[in-house]
Amino acid sequence: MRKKIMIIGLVGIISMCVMAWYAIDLLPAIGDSQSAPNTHISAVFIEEGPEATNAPNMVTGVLADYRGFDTLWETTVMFLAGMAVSLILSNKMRRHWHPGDFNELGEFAGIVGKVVMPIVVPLVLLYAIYVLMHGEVSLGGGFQAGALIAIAFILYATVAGMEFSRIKFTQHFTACMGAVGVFIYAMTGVIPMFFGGKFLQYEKLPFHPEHVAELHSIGILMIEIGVTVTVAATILIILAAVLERKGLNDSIK
Amino acid sequence: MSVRLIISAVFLVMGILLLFISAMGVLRLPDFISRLHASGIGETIGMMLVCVGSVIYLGMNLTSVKVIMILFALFLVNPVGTHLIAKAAHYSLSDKIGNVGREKDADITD
Amino acid sequence: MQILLIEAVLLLLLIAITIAIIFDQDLFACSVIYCAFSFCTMLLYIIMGAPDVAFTEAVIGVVSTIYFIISIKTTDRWCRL
Repeated sequence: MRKKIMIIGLVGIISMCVMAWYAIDLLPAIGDSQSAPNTHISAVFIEEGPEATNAPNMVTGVLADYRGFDTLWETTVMFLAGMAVSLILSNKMRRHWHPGDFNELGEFAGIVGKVVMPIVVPLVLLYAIYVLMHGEVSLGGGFQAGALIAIAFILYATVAGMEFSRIKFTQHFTACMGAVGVFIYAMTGVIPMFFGGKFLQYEKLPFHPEHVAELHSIGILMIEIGVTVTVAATILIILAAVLERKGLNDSIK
Repeated sequence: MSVRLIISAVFLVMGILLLFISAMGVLRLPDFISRLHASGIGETIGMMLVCVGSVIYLGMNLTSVKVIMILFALFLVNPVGTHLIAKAAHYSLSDKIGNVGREKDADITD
Repeated sequence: MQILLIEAVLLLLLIAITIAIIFDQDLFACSVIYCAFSFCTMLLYIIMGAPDVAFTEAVIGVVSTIYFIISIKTTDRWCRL
């Protein structure tokens, strides 16, 4: 039975590879400027993008300004995925923990948790905020920053345990955090409507910088903050959902 | 072929050689603790030599300042990681480390 | 159709890693090899000229490896074929 399944699998893989070999010739070359998708709107993005959106990084300019509506729903889908994992993994037998009741994992950390973690974790958080703020200029943006914030917390929780944090990252808290992130993003879209603009039109934001084009930078920053909070909350809600189940072999009461 | 290029090439080749030797050690050594020695020491020094080679190649630049920061971060974090792996192994099964052989049910020594 | 040497080496390495993941019986080792898969994909993204995507892949590779190992702890570690 197992051999039949393996043979069927191998036949399927080889036939797919042969079909892909002949189909790849039909695709245009990578980076070809005369191919069909690249001749219509890519020229407009490349010529007008960095000035119109005030973002030298064209990727962030397209993602957060020209196609900001798609990014809103992308963020919502990510938040929904975190909620789905939390719903699947939740059961009645749950470990309720409070910041301050340390378990024996604290003694496991020893000198590492007292000396090295206070040096490393703030640096990771600082790097996360740097990546968030520089998303328009260089590599970065909201998604990377949110994942880095979550990594800082996971790093500390791996070494010393979740009870050592001041903020109680349970499923409730991180779900609310995810909703707040999507709310910040949507509010950045609704606020211009109060001042005579369309949804997500950054020129009608109620700030008054020196140059009008800087309103785009402010709008992109507000969007990226929303995305950061949601991504960090999604990653942490999965961690909380797995670690709060009773039934892992640990000696927590 | 200036002198700076040759010196940076020497450092890079030494670093890559050390990384390769430590990878071979992780594959071929029989025991968990020996593999931890090979990985922890070899990879740290190898990465530091590669970073020094890159700094010499780049010259006085903003990029080389960032590479120096990477070097400090690696120097700080890599040995701590090795220490934590050993401590986790000791915490999980303090009586099975040092066991040579292929036990199917050993959690970590395989 | 041109291909660089380093691209060809990385793609062959990807195939080898995938075969190792499929036919391995120790799920713990599979999740560590998946981290190597993520790393090779990140190098391919850099060669293709998309450093933003490579940065994201590097960060998410770390997170997904940690989550795989946490999930394996709640189920079996050995998957006997």
